[in-house]
Amino acid sequence: MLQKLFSSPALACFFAFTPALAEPPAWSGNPDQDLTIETLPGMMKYNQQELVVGKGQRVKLTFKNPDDLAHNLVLLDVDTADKTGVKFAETAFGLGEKGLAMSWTPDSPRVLAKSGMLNPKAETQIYFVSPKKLGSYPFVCTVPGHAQLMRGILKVTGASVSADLKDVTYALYKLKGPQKLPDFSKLKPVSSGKAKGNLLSLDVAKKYGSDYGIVWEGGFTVPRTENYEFFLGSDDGSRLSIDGELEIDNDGVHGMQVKKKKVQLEKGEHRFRVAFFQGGGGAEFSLHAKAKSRGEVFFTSKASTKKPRSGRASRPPMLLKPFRPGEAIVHRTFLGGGTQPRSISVGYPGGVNLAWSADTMNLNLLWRGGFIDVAGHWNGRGSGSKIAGFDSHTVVSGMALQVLESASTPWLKYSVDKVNYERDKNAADQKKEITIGVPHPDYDFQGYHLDSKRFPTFKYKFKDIAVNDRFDPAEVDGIDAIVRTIDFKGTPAKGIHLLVGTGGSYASEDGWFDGGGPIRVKIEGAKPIVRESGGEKQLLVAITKTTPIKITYRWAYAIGGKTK
Amino acid sequence: MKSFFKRSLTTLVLAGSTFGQLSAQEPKQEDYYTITPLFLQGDGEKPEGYFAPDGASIEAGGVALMPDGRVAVATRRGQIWMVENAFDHPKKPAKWTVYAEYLHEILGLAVADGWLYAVQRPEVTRLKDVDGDGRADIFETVSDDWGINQNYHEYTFGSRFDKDGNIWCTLCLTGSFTANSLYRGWVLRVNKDGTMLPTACGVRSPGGIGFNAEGDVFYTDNQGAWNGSSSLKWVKPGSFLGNPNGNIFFKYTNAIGPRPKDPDYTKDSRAEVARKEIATYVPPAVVLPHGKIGQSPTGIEPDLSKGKFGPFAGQTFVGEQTYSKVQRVFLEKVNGIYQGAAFDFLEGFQSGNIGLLLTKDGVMFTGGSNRGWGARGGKTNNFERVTWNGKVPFEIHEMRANSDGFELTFTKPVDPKSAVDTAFKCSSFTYRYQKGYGSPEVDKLDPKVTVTSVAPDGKSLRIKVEPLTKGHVHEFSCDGLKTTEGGHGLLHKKAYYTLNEIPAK
Repeated sequence: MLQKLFSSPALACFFAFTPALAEPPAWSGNPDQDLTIETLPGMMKYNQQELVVGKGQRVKLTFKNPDDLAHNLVLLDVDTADKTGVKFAETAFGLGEKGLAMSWTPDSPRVLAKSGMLNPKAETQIYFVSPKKLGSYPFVCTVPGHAQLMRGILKVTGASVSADLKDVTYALYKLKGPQKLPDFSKLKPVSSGKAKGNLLSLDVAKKYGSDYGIVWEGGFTVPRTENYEFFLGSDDGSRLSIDGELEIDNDGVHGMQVKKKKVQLEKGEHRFRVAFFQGGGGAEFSLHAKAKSRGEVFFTSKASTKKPRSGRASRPPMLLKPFRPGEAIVHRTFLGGGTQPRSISVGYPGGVNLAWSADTMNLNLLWRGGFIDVAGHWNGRGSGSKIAGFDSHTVVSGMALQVLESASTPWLKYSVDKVNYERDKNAADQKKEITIGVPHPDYDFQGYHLDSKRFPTFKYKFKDIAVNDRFDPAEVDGIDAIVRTIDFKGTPAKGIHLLVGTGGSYASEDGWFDGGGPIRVKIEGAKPIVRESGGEKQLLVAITKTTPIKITYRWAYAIGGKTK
Repeated sequence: MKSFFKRSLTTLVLAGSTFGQLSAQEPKQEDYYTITPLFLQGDGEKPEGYFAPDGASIEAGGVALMPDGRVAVATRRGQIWMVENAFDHPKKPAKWTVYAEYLHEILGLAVADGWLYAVQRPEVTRLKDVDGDGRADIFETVSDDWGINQNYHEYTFGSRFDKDGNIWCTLCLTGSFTANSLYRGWVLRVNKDGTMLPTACGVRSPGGIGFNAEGDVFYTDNQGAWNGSSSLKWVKPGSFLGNPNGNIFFKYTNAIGPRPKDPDYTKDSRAEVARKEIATYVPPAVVLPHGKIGQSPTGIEPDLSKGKFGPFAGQTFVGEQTYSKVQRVFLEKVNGIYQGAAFDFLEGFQSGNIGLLLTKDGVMFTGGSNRGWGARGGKTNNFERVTWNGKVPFEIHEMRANSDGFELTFTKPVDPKSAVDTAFKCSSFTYRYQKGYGSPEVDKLDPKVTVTSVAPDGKSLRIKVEPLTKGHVHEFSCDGLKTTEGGHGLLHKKAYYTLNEIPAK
């Protein structure tokens, strides 16, 4: 599996070691750093946006791809003109037909390590020695269309994370409703052992969500006498002692709270002891030190070690899947982010998704990739779902149909009314006006029908006409698109218009309007009207007859990595 | 395995030495009713008896019996499942299939004219499987004439159909203290024909809505602002049910007349006082004393089984989420308003019951969730069946108010020797009616109980209670009563009677 990688002389000077896809025999299964990064299915993201390594470390990076697209990971040298690596990734577009053969990785001295193309559901390892120079090294997926979201930073810190620490042990205690750190010497641990990688991690308490304590002890090498500034952060309480002296007291029940202290340490070996407890709710812990000659020394694996609190956004995503492959999923809940409360989300096969609003009877949002993350909706009291994809755009915001008396009649965004909120009439009379959504008298939402692929046709009445609004995923020149078909039954009143888009520039090129963001729009079967109203550009069509109107919404560019 | 054995042994020894003699005589719930989970939770591994598909969470918010004998279960996650063999499980294992997904937090199911009606947060929807593949393909909006915003608290609970073809919906406030969307804090009637009729106001945080055996509508409301305790409330059309936040929406309807006078936000009042001050105010029919009988009442079902579910025909059952229970309620109408008694009934469910169904054949189904609000059962979700084995438990059957006390009837004859004054302990109390959250029990009294008569057949007795206080919950502990059939005490010894009205002599 050894792959010939870099022969660039520039790189050879930089690295004493050539990055590889198999472990160099000299490492004998003992990399200094053993890291894992994954893709998030359908979300066009790595699961970590920051990796932290010490300088000059032998790094084994396991790269897993549970996504349905092929991806890669390219670690780049620092470039102040391209801190994120996105510009570099864009040069991969220029590879053209050679792109796939080159794993979309341009031949460049900036490339410090690369994975090659990783197919869906596959996994690979990358071995490299981290740069000796401290800094933030970008890593990106250079497959076309991915880097905008799919990227992160490899932070190279001063000292090796583990080299200065040795013989770190942990002891885990089960506590009862702790309000502060107990005297652990009087308690019996439920488990104890060597700390993995000599790092302080809450992973040892994986089984417990609350009511536990951990004591870590270990050795700490100080290469030269100097000031170390320690940063002890915890949720809930913690204490740091060095050589038996209490240095930082961060005890008590609280959210993540960092306390710091400078300590002069003599050259040689020192002993540290850290006590931590978790009551209820969130749990987080971090400890690092800064010293002039060592840079940052991390005691915890990353900036912190954390267990997500239930009900928080940090919980792992729960992605909705179609009942059967090839079917659409229809999901009703809040989506936040400017969508309406009566949003109906639809995820189509092929990874194009929309939110249609039963408040405005209109399309609202488009995105591609993953459909919906229901973790927020299905945990705790239910804070709503989130879109789980990328390239999302509000293509239209406003009621679907309206009779326009003139070209300048403002468009109704949402049917609302104001009502006085009268409370506490007798005392502090809190009179305030609130705005509430109210049913619009001209509209009657009638639900939706699903076809054999579970594609919905939305149905509503507007004045005297019955409207069917249907969407089908499509590809236009290899680019994701969705085709909207609207048909009307009944005789439309004079002056009825349909709001097709808002917020774009609607500059047109080859029949495609710029719908704003990554979206392009094409209208067939009716004459498009672009107008400016209420400070925004709007794309309308006049409804003059009852033949169907076909509207194609497509993204501006294709996403690479498809493995059909 | 070793440690488990050890612990079981200890428990056995304890039970044998301390409770051995007692337990031989004192019956338990299991002697009369059997609770059968229709699935068990995975907890990582897939235990035997786990019949819901992998990964599914049956947070049952609504339950309905389909005409073909399947049981439909709607979940907070927005799925509707069809359960085959629900009555025969585990003899014939329950088979779960998805009928619809994903609606918005379904908290009510009803069946009519070949359609399944689902009450979801934004609307009442009716569903049908036209192509016969077992999954609904038509989702028709019956009514969405109320507001929602993106606040989690704006639940919509729905009843089954009344005789006029209405589903009664009760709309939770926007948070604990506000009504920021149209008709929050109201009860609405949605007719099969798509019309919606605002029917009552004053709701805080409902947990379910349903009928008593007479077909009158009740909903459960949770302790909080203007609710000193959770309770079962009668939805008298046109009534104000206690929480004034939703009164701002009288701007949009005259269906129930003019806006009632708001209660005084500065006062620590009582329901009794509010009845005099606010013409349309109807006090809770049956208070479910907070922290005593439960903490979160939910679904409501009348017993129309004519005795197939035990001796409680015509009474009303109320689900309980926090305590993972089902309560029993006896209702009577005195001077034109409902009142009555609450009793403990079934306990030991696996999660927090929300949806409730009792079939005419006397089989109960309930299930729910502990999500967002913990439940004693400890599991994240449950769906369970309750059947009666034909043996009659010794219980207070009915409890009626008299001019000077109460008449109690029993499911088995009371031993007259045990029916003495000291067999009863009584305390009475009420709650503050105030804008603040909940209330302690206030105005407490310790009335004197005198047994004035015992029927010759032992099936009823009368007690005089001094003083008898209008507006108070009268809590009884009937520890001393024994039945002649076996000599044991009541299966549930507590009764909580809400005395809105004292009947005339």
